[in-house]
Amino acid sequence: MSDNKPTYLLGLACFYHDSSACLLKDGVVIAAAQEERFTRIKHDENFPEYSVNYCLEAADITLDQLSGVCFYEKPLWKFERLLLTYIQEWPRGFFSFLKAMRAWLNKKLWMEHIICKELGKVSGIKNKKGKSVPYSGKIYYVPHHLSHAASTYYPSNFKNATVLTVDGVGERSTSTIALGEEQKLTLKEEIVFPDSLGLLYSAFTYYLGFKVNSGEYKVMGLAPYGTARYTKEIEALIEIFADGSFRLKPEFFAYRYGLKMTSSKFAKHFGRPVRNTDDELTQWHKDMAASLQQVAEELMLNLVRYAHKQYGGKNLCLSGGVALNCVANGRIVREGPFKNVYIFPAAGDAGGSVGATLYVNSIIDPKPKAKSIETIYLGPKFSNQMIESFLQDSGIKYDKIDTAADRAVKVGQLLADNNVIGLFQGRMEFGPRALGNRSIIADPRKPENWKRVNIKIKFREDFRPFAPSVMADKAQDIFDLRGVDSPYMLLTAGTKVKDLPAITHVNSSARIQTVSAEDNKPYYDILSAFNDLTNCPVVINTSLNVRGEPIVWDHIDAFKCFIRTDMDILVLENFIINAEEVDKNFFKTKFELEVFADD
Amino acid sequence: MLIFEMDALKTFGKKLWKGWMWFAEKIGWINQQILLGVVYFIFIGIYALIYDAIKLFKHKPETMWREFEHQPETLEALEKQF
Repeated sequence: MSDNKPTYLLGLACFYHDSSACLLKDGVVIAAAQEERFTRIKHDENFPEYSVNYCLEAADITLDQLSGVCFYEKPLWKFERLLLTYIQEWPRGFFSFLKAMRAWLNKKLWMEHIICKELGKVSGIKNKKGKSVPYSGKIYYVPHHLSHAASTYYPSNFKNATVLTVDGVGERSTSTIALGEEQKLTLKEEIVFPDSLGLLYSAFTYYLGFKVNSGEYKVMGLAPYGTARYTKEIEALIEIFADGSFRLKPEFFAYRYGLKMTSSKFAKHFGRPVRNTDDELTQWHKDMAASLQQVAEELMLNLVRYAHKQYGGKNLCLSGGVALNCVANGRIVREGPFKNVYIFPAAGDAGGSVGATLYVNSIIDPKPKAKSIETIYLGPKFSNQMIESFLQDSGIKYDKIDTAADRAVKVGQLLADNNVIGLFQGRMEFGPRALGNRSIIADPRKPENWKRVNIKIKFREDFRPFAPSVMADKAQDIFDLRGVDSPYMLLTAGTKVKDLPAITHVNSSARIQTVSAEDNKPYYDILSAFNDLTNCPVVINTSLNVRGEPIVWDHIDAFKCFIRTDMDILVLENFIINAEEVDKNFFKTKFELEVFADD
Repeated sequence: MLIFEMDALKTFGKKLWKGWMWFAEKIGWINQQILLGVVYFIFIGIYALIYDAIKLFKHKPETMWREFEHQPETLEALEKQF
């Protein structure tokens, strides 16, 4: 490779849940996206062909210019763990064995072949017989928790840090502690399957009638409505050691050998069967969610304290699916022993593609650590020209605003007039949160906005709270953030004011996004314009999608979301569309959209 | 007439092939269950018995933390799936 040619690494995370791809150019992440946004299948696990395609297009390169492809786990380590588990659980794991082996024999054991073939399809290069030419470059397999650790350590900009990763399970690790020193990242210790904080949370998610691997945040949202009166009963399922490590008592959990998360003894222990999805959520379920949340927070704090005791330092980086638990994160920041805490915004498996490339890059280029991520807005963007063509071709009425400054003032005024606004601008966010570029925003001072957005716009459970976006320079006056910023909506903190009912949870907390002009100037300017009119630097911010669907990725999906819901205004870059001027039923028919029961 | 007969033969052949593939898939599925069953109850079973015997001599751990081994630190190690 010649010196002046850039080094490109493509990262892949797929075949479990939340597939994604990312592209690294000379050690800096320049593009990343989750496959679900393009395919419209929530938590899509398939090979991320659209994401790969987007990444290559964003850099205007072809597959043969890649220095390597980095996969976010070592498949055969995982296979070894599966076999070992079936040995340990023999003979009751028979049906699970049949199901798992079918998947492994048909697909996962041939990972290299599948990745090469799928990448070949994306490249579009055909041989004489018209078949796609498979990718033939290098593929690097980075252990799952090392991918998680790298995804948070390298973007943190700490010169050294202790890194804690906690999720369901990778190959065999369920929690790890790593040490980062300059460009070198070393995994030191691990807790292994089946003892897993992530799987404990998932087991209760299943027990409370929500979907595993996607409903965990609903349990977290439900918790403040309950009282933690069953913590003793939950702790009876766990053996907690003096150093904070833990063991899940196997008789209560069935995920090792069965097709369910919990055993019959689990239900007997709590005296109630597994809740069906459609059953009513009673106070008992809310109390159970609250108890679980409290136990999970304590276990996380134990792990953090142990990591500090063993390895010291003042910087902590967190990653893994459990690091998306923003309530636990808030407690780690407030009560934990580390001075500085960084959490990667795509802390779940989707972020594995980024971590895998960053780790491989650290070996290719071991010079002192540079800034590896400049922004989390790493997805596609659409020009005003493209959007205007779409609006004109579709016969949609719109107002065009010429400058960014005028647009901010106009949107601020519309918010102050109590409109619920779909905001589509700039590059799509990477990670599970909408951070102002694919968001629905509204005035948080109006209590009715909570129910209105939940029921008439998002079509989701009415208990679920909304998060606030707040101007970073005013955040400390409104929220009890204790000097810490929360740019990725990964921390909860108490609210200091009482006049923001739509974003304040029943326990007076909120899941906060602090917005600075450096991170997202167009969004900051909107908040600032709204503040000038109302003296309120906060807005409701929820993702631009309806229940059960991924966040929108392009302007067409954004418009489809708009006409299916009760939103008042849609802002597509410099174009403003008013619901009063659009015949939503006409466009529903035109775009052949499913009509919701509430319509 | 000959062309008509050839077309009919082709259609029949295609149907026959489709039927055979359907049947072969079912047979394949049953085969897979039987073979996996043999692997599970014999091979996995033998290891399971050995594992259970070893487990009897295992001490109760004082911590669930253990050292992380085999971190791949070179590109050659990263190229391996294990």
